[in-house]
Amino acid sequence: MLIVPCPHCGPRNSSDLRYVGESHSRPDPNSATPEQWRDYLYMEENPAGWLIETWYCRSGCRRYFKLERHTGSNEFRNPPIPGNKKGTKA
Amino acid sequence: MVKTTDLDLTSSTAASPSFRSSAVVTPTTAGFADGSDGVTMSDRADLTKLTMRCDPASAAASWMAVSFGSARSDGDVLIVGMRPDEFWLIGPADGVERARADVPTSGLRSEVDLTHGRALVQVSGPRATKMLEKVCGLDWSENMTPPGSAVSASVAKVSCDIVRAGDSYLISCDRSFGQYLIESLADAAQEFGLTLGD
Amino acid sequence: MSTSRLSARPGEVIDRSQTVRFTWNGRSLSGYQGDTIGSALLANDVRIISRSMKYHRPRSYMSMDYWDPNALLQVGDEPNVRSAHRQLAEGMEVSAQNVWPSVDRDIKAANGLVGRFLTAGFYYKTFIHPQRLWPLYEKVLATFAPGGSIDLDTPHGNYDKRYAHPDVVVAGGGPSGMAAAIAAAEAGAKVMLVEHEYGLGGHLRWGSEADQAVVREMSQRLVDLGVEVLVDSTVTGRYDDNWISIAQRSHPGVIERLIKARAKVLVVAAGLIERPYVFSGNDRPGVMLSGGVRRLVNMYGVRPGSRAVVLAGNESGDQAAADLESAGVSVVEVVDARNGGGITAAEGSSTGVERVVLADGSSREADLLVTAVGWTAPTSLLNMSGDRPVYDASAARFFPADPPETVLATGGMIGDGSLEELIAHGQSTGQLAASRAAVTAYRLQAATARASAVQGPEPAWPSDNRAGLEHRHHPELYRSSTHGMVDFSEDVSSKDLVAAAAEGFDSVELLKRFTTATMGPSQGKLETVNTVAVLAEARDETIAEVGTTVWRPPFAPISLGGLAGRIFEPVRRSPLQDWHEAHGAVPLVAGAWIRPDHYGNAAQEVRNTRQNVGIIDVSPLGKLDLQGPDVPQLLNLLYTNKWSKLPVGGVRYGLMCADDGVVMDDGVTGRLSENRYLMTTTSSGAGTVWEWAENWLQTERPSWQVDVTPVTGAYASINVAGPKSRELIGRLAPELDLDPDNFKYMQVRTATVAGVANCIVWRIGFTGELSYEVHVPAGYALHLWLQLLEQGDDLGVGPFGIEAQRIMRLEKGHFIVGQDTDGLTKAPSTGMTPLIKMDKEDFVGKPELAWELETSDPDVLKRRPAVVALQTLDPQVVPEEASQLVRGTTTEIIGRITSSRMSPTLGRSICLGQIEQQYAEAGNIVTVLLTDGRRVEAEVQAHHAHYDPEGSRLRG
Repeated sequence: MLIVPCPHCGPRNSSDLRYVGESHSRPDPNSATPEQWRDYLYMEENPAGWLIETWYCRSGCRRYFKLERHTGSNEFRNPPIPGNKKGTKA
Repeated sequence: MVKTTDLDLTSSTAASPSFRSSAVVTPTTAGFADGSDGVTMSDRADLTKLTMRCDPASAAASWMAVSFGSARSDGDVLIVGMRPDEFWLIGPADGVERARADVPTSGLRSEVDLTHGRALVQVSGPRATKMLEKVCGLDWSENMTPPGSAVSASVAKVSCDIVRAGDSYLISCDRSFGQYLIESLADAAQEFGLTLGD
Repeated sequence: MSTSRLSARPGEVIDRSQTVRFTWNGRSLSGYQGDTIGSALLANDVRIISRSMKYHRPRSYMSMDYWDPNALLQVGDEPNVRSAHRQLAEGMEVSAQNVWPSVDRDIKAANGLVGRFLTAGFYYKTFIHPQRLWPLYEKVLATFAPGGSIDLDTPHGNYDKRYAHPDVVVAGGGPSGMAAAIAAAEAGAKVMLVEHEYGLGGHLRWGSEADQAVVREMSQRLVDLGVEVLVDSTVTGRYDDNWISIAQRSHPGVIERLIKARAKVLVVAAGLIERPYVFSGNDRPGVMLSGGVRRLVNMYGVRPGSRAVVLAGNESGDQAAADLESAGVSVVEVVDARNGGGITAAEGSSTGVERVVLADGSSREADLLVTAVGWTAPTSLLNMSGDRPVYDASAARFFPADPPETVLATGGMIGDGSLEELIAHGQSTGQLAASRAAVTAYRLQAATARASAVQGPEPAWPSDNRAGLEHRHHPELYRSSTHGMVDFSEDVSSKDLVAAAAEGFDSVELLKRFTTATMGPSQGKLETVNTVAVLAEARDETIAEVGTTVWRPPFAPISLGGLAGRIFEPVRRSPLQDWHEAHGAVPLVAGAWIRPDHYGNAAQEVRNTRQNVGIIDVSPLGKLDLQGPDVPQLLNLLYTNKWSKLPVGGVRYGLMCADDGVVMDDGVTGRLSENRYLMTTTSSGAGTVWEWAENWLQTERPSWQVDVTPVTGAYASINVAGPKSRELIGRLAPELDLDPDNFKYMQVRTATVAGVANCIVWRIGFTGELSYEVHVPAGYALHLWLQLLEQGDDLGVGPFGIEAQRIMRLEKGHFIVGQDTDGLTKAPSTGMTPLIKMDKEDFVGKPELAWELETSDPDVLKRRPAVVALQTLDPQVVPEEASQLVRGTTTEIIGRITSSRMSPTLGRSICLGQIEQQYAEAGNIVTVLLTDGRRVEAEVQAHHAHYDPEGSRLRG
């Protein structure tokens, strides 16, 4: 089982967290085209490499946060920026 | 014109005689060994549990004087940094009320009395840590979870909030899981010898 | 006792003063304390203990350890016991499995006669066509399948689990493993040493007296250092970040305990497993491995035969020969494979070896053939760490390549050496493990909010400066010039492998799956390298070129009981559940909740509620306390309708969608004060909606000030419903103004009810009756419940359960999210379009719902599902839920029944269903296809409500 570095609690078993998924930004609901909206809803980058993901520290601090994880090695590194970046795309 | 009353839930009435805890431990729950050196378990559901949300770096937060993950005693009241912006006051109703009155309003966002909402079990004794290691995946060594620490974790598959004071642990979960939790803990404690406290 | 038991041996592990009685196929036998089942059977001259899986060839013990491929026996109600490993216990009822009628005379051995037809893939190819005969094939195959019998009435034994956070886990308690554990503990690490066998020492256990003195000394040191030593326990898996699973079979009073350890460093000291040799007759009883012979003679004092030939490819063969001679066995020949000597066959009868044929064609009379042809490093735990071992032809075995820095290998798996060298390597590994664990511990502590402050700067990550162990030359001895068994437990021969390779299954992964070689109970511990070697020969390649398969968890089997642990599943109980159960309630499991389904007669409960007054415990209703100035904004975001103007004292229904427009939850929310609201959710959605609200607040709207606190358990919720509910509530809450003009439908008050302060009371109507839902602080729930029953006695008050509530809500046409809707039901399909407010700036699901509502394409519109009420034309037919709705006399599915009940109020069946919009018009007749194949007709209704569609009762 992975150890996930919760920015509030510290390292926790991944079973203490909920994996929310790739961090996707929500388009403006009033101007998004169906294509943009469904890209946000359903499409995943799924890269072999670094990926920014959202986790929820369900059993711990109950905070949502983003982490950057290498999907090959499961290594974590700090998310470079707190903004809403979709996957590894800039 | 509709007359309404703003709800005020802060005056705990937990000491009232008809209050019933969710966690009923009876010696018939299991064949308990006599364990003077084992684990003692007590129902503390009658303690008042008040949760307060404070803005970080506010007067209210600094009054708490505990950081996230730690707890301190203020007389008979335990003040707990349960989550990054959430503090718990645990103790007898009058003690919690006194402490609550002391909290500066500046930065105090909200409060909820969870006396009725949380089961609260105290387990103590030299083998209490061993027992907890059976049902909780956290590292309970003194370096990682020292006395005076507060942490939320899954205990026997239930989300719990735990405060450690020496060899004693206050374990709290949603009231509806209370009976299950106490039975699970009693089961885990059996090999160490379980004594039921007051 | 028997002639096979030797006089006392210096290093034996049996206690001859303690006789242990057991039975073998019903026959009473005895052994000694410390015997394994296998050593006791052999001591009693029981040689043939099993029959092989496919050909039912007679088999006996080979390796006398956990991996012995022939040793699976039934013990009492426990099948597949590894009898060469399991210690004998008083009263064990041991029997052979996969035999009929007996292990000595096995009719299925006829398979052996037709063995040439039972080649690899025989079952795959033969029993596949025609498919309609599969049920028959299944029966036939089942009687021939190996494995013992299970007793479904066996009670769940005492299995357990625990977690552990050691600095260092050492897998393997041989000399290197013990040395590593000692060195790590001396360096201050918290160490757990796990040994698969019943005692520490590894190969020293059957070694010299000097070897055993070393074991005793090191064992004492481990005790003195406080190392947690687990014998008869197996490290079964290594997962991400050194999450280690350990099956402990030695915890007192517990059959098996699963330890989940988070180790900072894992030391793998798994030793070496002896490889069998492939030649004609290599599975005959009497062919044994040198290690098995040495265990048997030195640990258990059992003579494995009387005349032996030893094939020695290494010094273990020489030692076995010496041990046999010391045990009075006549060693007629030591064939030295290091100097080109060889054997080609073990010949004999069904009872075992009688002759050994040497490579020069001569033969020797013998009843025991001992082979010592090489070793396999069980690199499973390293495989699980991502390592891919590499083959060294000069040493004739695979070695670890490049494990992660927190997984260190030591001992025989990485090289050869004297005992001193093995111990020295273990020591340096233990020291490295401890120093790396210290760095990891520092990092974990420094990063953990609750942990003590770390002292000093972070130590540097220690580099690996260990001296290695040499790879000594060993002849490559895999197969003789003859063919023989490669996988004993699966009955796969080298001939089968060659044939399969010729058929094209010539990659090792394909070959394995096609022939099932390495897939039996030994899981390749004995067979993998031989399989690779035979394939390499068939492909005319080297073993390194062929490569090997990957060992996956578990290293050794874990019992299902061990995985289950204690039988405790979280269960949620309302504070009234004890009362319900004491009053005849039939329990209903709904998610984690136990709820009262009914108290004996749901229809009567419905009638009483409609006529008088009923009370129901709806405590599982999800409840969230919302506080802060931005609560209306949050509600506007999460629900499709508008919340800005909800006054204090008001209650509103809301429908919640996800961003795909699909309905995810619903419920009512009341405004208790300026900045405080109580939101209710479906019982099953309570946790989801809480996390959902937090998600929006924390990630998308961090500037909003709303505090969400789950209070589901804090309040017990009691719905008081029926025409006399106002009267009843009035008696309990005299100060509450219940005048219908002042306390209207969809309003909330706080009140003292039955003397309990701080109750929240709101008027809603899930049942369709005048009703007050009281949320009472949970500790007083029973008091209020009893007061309601007492004070309402003359009003005819009675409890009702979930079933009555479901009937009444169906009569009223209220849909249940998740029952009448599904993962594709968008909000407009529920008929709730008026609650979707497109003029709001934003709400979750808005764009999808906008497109949904804007669609004018008639093809889309007519096929869109609609939730409708339906009534069967025959009022007595109650279609089963999930019955399909079909068009006319066709089988074209146009919808389904989602809820269906007999209505006690209307005296007829009533349904809710989903149906394509084109058929959803009121008055349409559709066909319901019942599960028994009958077709009945049903009429689409104008309203969802079958009862009181105007709502006059609940608004009264």
